[in-house]
Amino acid sequence: MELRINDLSVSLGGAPILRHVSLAVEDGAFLALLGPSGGGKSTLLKAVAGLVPLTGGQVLLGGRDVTALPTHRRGAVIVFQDLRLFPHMTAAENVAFPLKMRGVDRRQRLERAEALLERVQLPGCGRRRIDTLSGGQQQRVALARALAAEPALLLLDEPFSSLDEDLREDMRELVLSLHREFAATTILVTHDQREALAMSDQVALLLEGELIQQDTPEAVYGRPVSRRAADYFGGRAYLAGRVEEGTFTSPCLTCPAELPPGRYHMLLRPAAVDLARPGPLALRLTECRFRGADTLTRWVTADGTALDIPLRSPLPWPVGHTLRCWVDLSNAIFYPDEEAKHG
Amino acid sequence: MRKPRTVFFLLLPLAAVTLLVLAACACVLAQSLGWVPAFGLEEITFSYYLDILRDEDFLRSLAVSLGVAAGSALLAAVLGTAVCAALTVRGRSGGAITYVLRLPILVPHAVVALFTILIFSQTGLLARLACALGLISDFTQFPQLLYTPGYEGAVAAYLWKEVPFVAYFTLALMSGVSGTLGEAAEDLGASPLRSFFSVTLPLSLPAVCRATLIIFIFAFGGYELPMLLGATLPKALPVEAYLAYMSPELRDRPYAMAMYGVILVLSVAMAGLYALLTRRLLRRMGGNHG
Repeated sequence: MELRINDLSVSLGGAPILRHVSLAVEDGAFLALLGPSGGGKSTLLKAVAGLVPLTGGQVLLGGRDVTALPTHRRGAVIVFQDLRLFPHMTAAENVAFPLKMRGVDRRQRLERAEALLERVQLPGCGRRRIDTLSGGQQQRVALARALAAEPALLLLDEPFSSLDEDLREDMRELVLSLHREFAATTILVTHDQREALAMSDQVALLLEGELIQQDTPEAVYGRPVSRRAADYFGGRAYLAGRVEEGTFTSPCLTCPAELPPGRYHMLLRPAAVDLARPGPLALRLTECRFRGADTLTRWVTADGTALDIPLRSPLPWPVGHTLRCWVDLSNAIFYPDEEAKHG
Repeated sequence: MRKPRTVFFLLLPLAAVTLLVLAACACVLAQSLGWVPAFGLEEITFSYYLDILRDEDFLRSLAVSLGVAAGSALLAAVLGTAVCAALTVRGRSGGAITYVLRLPILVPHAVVALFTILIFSQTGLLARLACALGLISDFTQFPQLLYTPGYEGAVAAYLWKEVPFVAYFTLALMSGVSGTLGEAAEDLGASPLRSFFSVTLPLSLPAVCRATLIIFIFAFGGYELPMLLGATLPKALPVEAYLAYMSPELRDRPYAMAMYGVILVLSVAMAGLYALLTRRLLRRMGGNHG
């Protein structure tokens, strides 16, 4: 079901947590709500589910305004970060709980629960108590329970954060396959950038309670709308310079830029730098850190800007080596110098 | 981490109190079995227990005390849980409300008895008010609420103190469960009422049961309220035991001690039964939620 959030604001204990957030998720889409911890992601999920009061704004599900509806009538189901499985019920009873609330008879709901447990790869675990299940198994029970509610909107609140990396990968696969199968509109809250970019149709970047950007993963990563958004993804450097008469000039690079005259910062990402091809940008290798699969190298430009580039080992250059390399400027992004603008 | 010596000194007061209680219990049990060398009684026997268990007055007293204890504990549990649920639903689990709840808990039982007499007796404030309003023409027409064989006055006084106790005792756990698992239940389609009865209440039961047991044992062994608000006959067991203890015939002391022994054994049995049930309940709930 399509979700639309209009100008939503939430304050808790007098402190603003979400400020004028507007967001749209198409029916059946998978959106990753990305941002650092404490940025308001979980609060946004709770606001959509009706678990926290809104200071302002509107939540529409399938075109229907659900802002005034109580939680249990919204159909927006959260898989909580701490799972919140009911410890006094078995795994099957947990999964069957939403069906019980809908008045499905005991035999039918337990059959459905067993089928869902099998679907999340927990066959025969229905009679087990929650505390006898591992963290990964509990996660699967929580997923099955949410699916049993047949949610109009499935909200996943950092569901993989407490798992080991191997398990996390398995769970991501499972979540994606369940998303394909059940076609529920899904929002995944995460602070893991790779997870957000790899899993979703759309990424919404939420920083300090404000929605900074919502777009495809490629666009959010490739064309951050602001320096703040670009900063969040890290692994970047900025070349400071000026644009005059359609040309950006910095101490270490000059390139065309169709922008109004002024001071700008050009975003320089590792992917745009081709070390193997000679070009205009002079870089000096200052540091190498072996990381197993690759080596993280730090390069410094003539004006002291540092850029970290992961490279395959072994490196052909010693530390201190300087080379001139090619920079792909076809997708160069410039951000106006805010201080200069305000000054 | 604290040094072992510090821990030892910190535990000393607890150890002293525990020793005192254990010594008193041992003394009660020894005397109830007829061992009071100071009065020339040195033969260990169960005959005092057998005698009181055959005595109809004692059995009536036992029934009264069990009734007062069970009635107070169960009613306090139900009403206290309801108060707690109302506070939880309204999100009022902290701040001023906890002070209001604590007030009746702090008031001594004897003072509660005095208030109860001043308000509810046939010469109390309510009777005078009814008389002044012309609802009754004579104080004797005011219903007899105190000193009745059913011990309603004592139960009501216990409730005044213990309903807030149950609510206060359960509030932290219930509001914690409600804010997490209760919230999850609502998110899964349960109405607030169904969420409360399916999730919040069952998971808060260990705390409710614990409070109920404390009240039961306290009311079962309590002396002041049955003494001040109860009927002349049948007497509550602690009153009966106290009167027997104060008897000028010192060689009857083992009868008084046997009555205390019954109170002690039943209280310990209740605590044991509670521990057993709680362990089973917690195991079923998958951990310690109390």
